Amino acid sequence: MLRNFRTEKSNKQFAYDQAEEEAVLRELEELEELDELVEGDLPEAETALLYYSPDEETLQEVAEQTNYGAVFLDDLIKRQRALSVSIAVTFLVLIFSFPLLNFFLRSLVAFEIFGFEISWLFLGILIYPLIWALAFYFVTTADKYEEDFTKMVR
Amino acid sequence: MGINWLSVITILSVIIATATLGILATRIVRTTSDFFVASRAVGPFMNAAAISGEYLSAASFMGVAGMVMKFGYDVLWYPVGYAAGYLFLLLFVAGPLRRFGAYTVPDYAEGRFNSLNLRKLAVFFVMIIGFFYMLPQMKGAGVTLQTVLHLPYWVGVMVVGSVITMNVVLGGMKGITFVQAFQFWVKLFAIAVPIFIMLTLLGGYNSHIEAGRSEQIPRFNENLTLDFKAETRLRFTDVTGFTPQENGRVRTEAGQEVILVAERPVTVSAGELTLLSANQFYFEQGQPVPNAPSGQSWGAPFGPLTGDSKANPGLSLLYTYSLMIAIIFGTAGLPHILVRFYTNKDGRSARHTTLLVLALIGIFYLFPPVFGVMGRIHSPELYASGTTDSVVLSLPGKVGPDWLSDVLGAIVAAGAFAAFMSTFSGLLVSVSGALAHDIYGKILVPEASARSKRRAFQLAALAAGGGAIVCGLFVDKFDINMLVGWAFAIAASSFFPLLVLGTWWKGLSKVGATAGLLAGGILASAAIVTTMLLGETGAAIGSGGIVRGVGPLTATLLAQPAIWSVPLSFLTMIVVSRLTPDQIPKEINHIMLRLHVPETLGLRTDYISE
Repeated sequence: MLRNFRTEKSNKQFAYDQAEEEAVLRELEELEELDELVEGDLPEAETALLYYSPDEETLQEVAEQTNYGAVFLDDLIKRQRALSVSIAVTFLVLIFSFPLLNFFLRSLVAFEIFGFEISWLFLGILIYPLIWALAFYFVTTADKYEEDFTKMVR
Repeated sequence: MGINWLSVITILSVIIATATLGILATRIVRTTSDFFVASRAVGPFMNAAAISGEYLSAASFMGVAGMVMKFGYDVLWYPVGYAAGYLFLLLFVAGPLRRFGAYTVPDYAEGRFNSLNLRKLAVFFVMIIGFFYMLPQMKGAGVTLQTVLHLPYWVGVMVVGSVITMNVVLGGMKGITFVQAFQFWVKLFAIAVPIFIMLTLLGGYNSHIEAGRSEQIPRFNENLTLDFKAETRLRFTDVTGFTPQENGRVRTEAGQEVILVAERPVTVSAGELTLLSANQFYFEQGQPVPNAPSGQSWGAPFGPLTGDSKANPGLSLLYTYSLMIAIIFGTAGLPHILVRFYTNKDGRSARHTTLLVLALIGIFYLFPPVFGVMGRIHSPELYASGTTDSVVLSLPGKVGPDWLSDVLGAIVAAGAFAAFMSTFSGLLVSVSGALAHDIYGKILVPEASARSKRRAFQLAALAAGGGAIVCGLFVDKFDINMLVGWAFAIAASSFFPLLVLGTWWKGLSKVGATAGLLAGGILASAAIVTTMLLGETGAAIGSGGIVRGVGPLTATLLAQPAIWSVPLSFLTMIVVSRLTPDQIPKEINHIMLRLHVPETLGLRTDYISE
């Protein structure tokens, strides 16, 4: 969705399909309704703060949570959330299936490598590099998403 | 056993270096913001070392090794969970929490839901978790001075407690950021170097595991006389001979009382004996060690940690899952760790810091289980005396030449000291922060000046530190890892769902969050307190005790509640929020923006700016 908005802004082309367009429009409407509620409630000092760079139109839109701005932000949150959830699920499926392996296929995980049973080797040593790899992937991807967002909004 | 004077020197060095770094840092501390969160200008590497330093407590440094020795394979889930928790912290909490720009979890609770009552509830949980977590650190201090210097238990509690309390009172957060980073490196060095040397001299990790697994019951490596207090239980798994040194009586499993005569050898068959009076037993080399698990149950999954796996294999599996959930999700909800994330420059650097933390603690956690495995082979007498918690400290004494034992012993003693000192100071900052910043500054006297808040912080630190010292004097009979594990279960059932749903789901309402915190957090705490007060230690699941008079399933669920309390907390939050959509803060979009928009856009400042 994010990519589509960029296309829209730069080339005036609508690359997304009909259903997606409708979804976005619905979302925009909902958000505009919310905006009306929000604007009255913002404390003065913070409102002033939010107009920090008034010359940058989209930036201001994000800050005001109007129109595209709100959708951009929503989109960023959705992408980040999808990334986090998919990594979390991968990891949980992996380690939560391990006790089951220990339970039902003991003979398999009792297989020895360098004198370590697989069950000990995995839990005592190999799981740490696995965690590092997932964490590294998350950090680089999350950074990239935010750069995309920043570039697009600027 | 003489005193290892080298240990005295290294322990004193750690204390002096800690105090000096703290005092040096005081000179740099200028503003109140400095005091609470080190002005948020600490670099990722320094911050990562500080977070790791704070996290690696007596439970990690001493407790994990002790439990691996005592229970074997299943305990590996502890260090794995301690590390994996940071992955979840990274995925769901670190970046947004920093962006939100508040000092404490209660700040987050109030800011996200626009509710002072939620702040109060959060403060309450900060206190509970902090309390459960501080006491085992005090125990670690007492045990270390007892083992290394043969001082009474209370001396360690008093000395460590007062040094850290003074340090926090004088230096606040900035003071301890440097100190925590320094202490991480002390701990890593202190656990890694002795292990490399011992593995070189005594044989590899794998050969130790094989030896531990294959021998049926460990046997005494030398002739030994062991002290036992009254009411000590000794479980004999094989025919064992020993010589009591004093007249006394013991009770058998059947409830029969037997008289022991001093200096007259006794032979017992398998079964459990309870000493009715204090005594010393002399064991000859080669006798089986009482209280030691068999190699079979020690080396394989679903051993003694997880309950009676022969009678109830399903419950062992259940316990394993419950433990995993508590530790992994609990880490991501520990208030004294979360407070550290505010010292990052921005959300992006908070993520980078967490990645570095994962690397640092992951490396660290490779080592404590090695100590536990080696302890089973080289210090089996710790099973009999019930002091496996001190295996890290006593194992270096078995290495060989006296001078080498002394040097290695001194190194691990310094590491153990760094462990409970750093965690205790972090907890103290967190609890004092909650008292001063949340209760005093936000609830009691909202108009308080920065100066008087700072004074309140110092008073709160004195009070909380004093309280921990006093309570610490009474916990010497509890297992180090036991209280810590419970703190994780409570954090997993309260703050973790609050942070995850609050940050990633707009629909979480004030009422939903409150209901979830109460349902998960309070019920988990209740289950734990029930086990603590009514549980029969000794016949323990996870050495936390087991409640008699209820079914084994209920007892397991009470001993480790996370498997039901965490989902319960999440579900309650979701269901109640759906029912009360009008309790979602009106400015939710603005709050989401604050949580998720990169700082580089310059859209907003921190929640609190001083």
